Amino acid sequence: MENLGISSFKFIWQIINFLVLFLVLAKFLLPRVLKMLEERKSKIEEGLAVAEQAKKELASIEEIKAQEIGKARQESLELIKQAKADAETVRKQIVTKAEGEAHAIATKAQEDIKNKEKNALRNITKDAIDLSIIAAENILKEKVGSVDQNALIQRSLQEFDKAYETH
Amino acid sequence: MKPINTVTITSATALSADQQQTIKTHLQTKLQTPNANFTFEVTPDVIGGLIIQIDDTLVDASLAGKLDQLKSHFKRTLSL
Repeated sequence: MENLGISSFKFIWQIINFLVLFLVLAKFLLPRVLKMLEERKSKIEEGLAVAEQAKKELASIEEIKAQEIGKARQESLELIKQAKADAETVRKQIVTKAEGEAHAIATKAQEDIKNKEKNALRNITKDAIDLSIIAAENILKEKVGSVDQNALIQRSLQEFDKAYETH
Repeated sequence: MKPINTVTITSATALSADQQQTIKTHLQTKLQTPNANFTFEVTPDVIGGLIIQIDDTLVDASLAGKLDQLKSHFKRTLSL
């Protein structure tokens, strides 16, 4: 050792110093360090546990979220389906009502036309009868002078007899 | 039988005395009422023939009456 330039005394002394320092540190500082490390470890483990729990909860929430989204999607589809069915029902009702109204209007129009035709025919017939009677009246007025008045009187008296007997 | 007071004869043209007498005789015989009061009236609308009214009973044997009956018959038959 002397050949290496190291003093044996100093070397032993430093070893003793080191041991003393080690013992002092081991006695006073090491337990605190170990305790601190232990606490740190516990905190880390606790943190990891919390993180794991959070991860599980997150997964659970994600699952619930997925279920809710699926449920909401299903409900939306059902609502759309129901709305389409309702709209179709309303459409059919409107079409049926419109068809009924159109049929009623057409029927009424046909009846009106028939009534008008009937009235027109009635009026024409009535006018024809009136005109025929007027024509006959005019012809009779012209011709009656040439008819034997006594014959007319006799005929009237015969009619009177018949009517008076049944009276 | 109810007594007859007035008999009114309506014609289109004025009747001669002979024609009036013929009518009067016929009706008196038929009605058995020699004392009834006979009146002769002229209404051109009658056209021909006679309308005979005995108190409130009317017998229309005129051509105008026939035309009215014909008109009524047509309208009734054709439901006018």
